[in-house]
Amino acid sequence: MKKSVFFAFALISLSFILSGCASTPQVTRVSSDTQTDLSGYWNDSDVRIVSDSIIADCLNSPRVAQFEKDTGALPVIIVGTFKNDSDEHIDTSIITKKMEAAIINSGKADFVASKSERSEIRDERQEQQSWASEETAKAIANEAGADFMLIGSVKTMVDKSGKYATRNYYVYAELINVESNKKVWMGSNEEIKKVIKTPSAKL
Amino acid sequence: MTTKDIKIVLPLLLSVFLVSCASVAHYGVIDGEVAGGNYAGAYASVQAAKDSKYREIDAVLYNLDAGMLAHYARAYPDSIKNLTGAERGIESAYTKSISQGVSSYLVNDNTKEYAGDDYEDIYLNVFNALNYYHTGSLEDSMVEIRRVGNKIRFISTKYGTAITNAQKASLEKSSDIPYDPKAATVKFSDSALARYLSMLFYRADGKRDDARIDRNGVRLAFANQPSVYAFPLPSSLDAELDVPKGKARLNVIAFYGLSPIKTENATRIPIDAGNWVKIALPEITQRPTAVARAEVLLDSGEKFDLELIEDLGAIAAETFKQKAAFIYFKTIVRSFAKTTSSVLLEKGADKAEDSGAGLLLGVLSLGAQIYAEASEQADLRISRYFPSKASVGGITLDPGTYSFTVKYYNGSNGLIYEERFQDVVVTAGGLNLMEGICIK
Repeated sequence: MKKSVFFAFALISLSFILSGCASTPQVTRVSSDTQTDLSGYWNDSDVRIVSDSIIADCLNSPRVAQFEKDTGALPVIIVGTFKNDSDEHIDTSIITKKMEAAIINSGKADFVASKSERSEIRDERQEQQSWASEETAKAIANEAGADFMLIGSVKTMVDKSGKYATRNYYVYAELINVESNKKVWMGSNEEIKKVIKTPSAKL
Repeated sequence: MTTKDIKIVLPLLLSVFLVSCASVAHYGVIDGEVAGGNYAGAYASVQAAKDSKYREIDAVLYNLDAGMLAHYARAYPDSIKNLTGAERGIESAYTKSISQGVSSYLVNDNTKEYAGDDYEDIYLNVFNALNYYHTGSLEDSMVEIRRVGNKIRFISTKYGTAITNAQKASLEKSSDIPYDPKAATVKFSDSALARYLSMLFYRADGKRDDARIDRNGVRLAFANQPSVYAFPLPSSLDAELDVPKGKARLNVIAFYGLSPIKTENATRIPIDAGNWVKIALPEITQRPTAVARAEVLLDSGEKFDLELIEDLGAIAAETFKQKAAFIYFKTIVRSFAKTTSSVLLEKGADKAEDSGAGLLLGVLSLGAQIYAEASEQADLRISRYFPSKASVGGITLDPGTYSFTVKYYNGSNGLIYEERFQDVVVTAGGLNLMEGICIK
């Protein structure tokens, strides 16, 4: 082997070794809609798929549209409990926040602050009674009451045998009339089914 | 191979199996702190020992030890972090390292990444459920309880193929050690403790029907698995779902004793003059506890017994059966291979016409037998700080603030330890679950 070829070969080998020993993490920016399935657990792609389908379903609901025709006002919605009934620690608030944003931006409904958000706003209003000018202080006991409550849940069904596992996600959302308890809309997404194959061996 | 080569190879092999032994020296200090009820000190000690006493391949073991000690020290977020880390480690250890696999066949199982025992994988979720409850998240507690159910369902299929393959290999070696296939069948399909906690969580969530299903699940667990529930059903069970409106239920769960450890059972089978097969197998050994019973004494005068609901030690032994069967087969294959090389070298020495070559092969044969004897060590790794028993009880009270003492007694009814709970707010409709610990 010629000396120059040997040196080139050694240099390439060294660069491969050194690239594997980089002291800083390698970061690659990807588009937010890139599907990244690493562990098989609930991830951003699942949130997107579920939210998009349920939101579209809710916005196209004829009963929700009928409310505006009947009352002449946009329906006011409050986010209730979106339960995690799965076997994973899922932050369901991401789903409800996405739904809230999409429904508000569609102009088809208004949202009022949820139970957990309200106390902070009420504290502020109470403070205004003492400290803000009379013209700008907001009146107490003048909150908008919600017409509907959005509730839902995420459930999982898991099966496993050897290195194969399947995970099915069932996401349900419902809009309930606060006054009559009638359910005016129900949406579900059962699209997410994952088959996870765990490798048997590694080096 | 020359004498020079032998001088190089033998120390190398010796160093490999010496490195393969996990350090246990640090447990003395931690065990002492645990026995004295200094759980915060024990947790600090295990953290201090992390880098020096736990090998990289023992990360699961560290997380289990640290997670349980953090739980007893009531450092619940730390416990969640460690136990979740252990669970992830157990999941990822499903993918076996080829290099570790090879060395485990050449040396022993201590060279492999510790992948946790089944009972550890199950109960880490039970304790994480309690961790989440103590941090105020019932929903996350229920997530952990669902994970317990899923894991128990999959235990029976976990080792199926591996045992069949290992069994074939073992039968080819015609072992003299009898093997009972029934002994490898796990008779554990549901955890009464997990069901009981689930019942309490559902009751607190207002899901009475789900709570009723779990109460019946506790009954079924006792009825269907007499080998691991060889004691009476807690008498307070029915009252749990019979709380009058406006009344409050105080529940107490007490964990006591220490989970079993593994000890080595070594057998030597002579196969030739001067050669033997050493079979070193890990066995579950229970650690006795002085606690025989526990009761709760309220300052207001009422008292109730805490009754045994789960014998974690018995379940550890039961769920280890399948893994033990797999270890058994693998150990036989490895041990026979090591000794066979010694026998072949010895036969070569006998046939050698050259006296120098004969001597060399004889020395190698002896070296191979010594290596087999010294390197054949059982993998005794197991987490040390799970409790061995769980007892439960409850009392229906008027809502209010109560102070009480949990008292632990030995078999002669002598008081061993008492734990004080001061000014506990007991509310109607909510879950008022307190946890007592006597890991002695």
